[in-house]
Amino acid sequence: MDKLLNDYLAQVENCLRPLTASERVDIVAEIKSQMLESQAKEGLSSQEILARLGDARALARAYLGDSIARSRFSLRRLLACIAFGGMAGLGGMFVLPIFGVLTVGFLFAGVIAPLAGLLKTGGWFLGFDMPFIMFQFGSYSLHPLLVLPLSLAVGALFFALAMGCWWAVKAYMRAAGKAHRALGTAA
Amino acid sequence: MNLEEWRAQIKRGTLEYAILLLARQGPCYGYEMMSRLARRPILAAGESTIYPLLRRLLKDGRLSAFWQETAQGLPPRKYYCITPAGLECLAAMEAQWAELLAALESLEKEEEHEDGQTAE
Repeated sequence: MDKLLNDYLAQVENCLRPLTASERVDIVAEIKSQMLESQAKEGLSSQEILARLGDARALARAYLGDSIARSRFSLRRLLACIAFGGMAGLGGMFVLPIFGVLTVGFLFAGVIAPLAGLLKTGGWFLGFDMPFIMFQFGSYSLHPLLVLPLSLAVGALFFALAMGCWWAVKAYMRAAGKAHRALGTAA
Repeated sequence: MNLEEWRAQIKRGTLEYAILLLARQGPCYGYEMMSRLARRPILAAGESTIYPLLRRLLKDGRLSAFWQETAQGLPPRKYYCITPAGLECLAAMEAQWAELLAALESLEKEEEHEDGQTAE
């Protein structure tokens, strides 16, 4: 095999990138076999062989066109690519950071709220006030005795929101993983 | 009329049939198929036609393939064999082909008959 033929095979392989690695190797091995066979049996020169094979990109397209147009599998692969590409893109930019930060934030609030309620109500019983902890609705502020139960409820709500966001993160990861696996198997 | 284009259309429509016929005779590799087809100019086809077509027949399950090492100096070859699904398909193609030939033949006969009538 001289450089001319090897370069041609490398070009074909490069153009076959949409196919799986094993398919590419198989196709290139078969073209190589064809080249060597015509060299040995017909005594063709490298130039003559390449002239007969035609443009490397056209040859690769003939394989690709056939597999895209004819095989349902390839169409599935394409859809899987689009699904995964779209999900990974959205995920990197948007879904994962936002839901990730919300999960942590709600969890933090869910712990802080009952603690603050405990301080306010406990302080009231012990006879001192904590003006920086209060439930205020317009001009009405909640009696310190009622702050603890409400803060427990609010804390539980934050905790539930945190779990909701965490569930969204996990669901997203599962879906992205599935898309990725589909990409791996749709060969 | 463009006879070359018509020939190309016939070739396109029958190449699959020709390849299955070759494969039914026994395991055959790409280069051998090409040379055997090339001996019949109307069926001759280039690499960029034959190999993608073989690949499609393989994916369809009408052919199967295996690689085999060869004697010294020659590269390993990818042999294609016809599968039971391929045999079934080929039988159906043969029936259609016979129907096409019979239909054309009957048209030709009809023509002869009419020619005979007008000559009288």
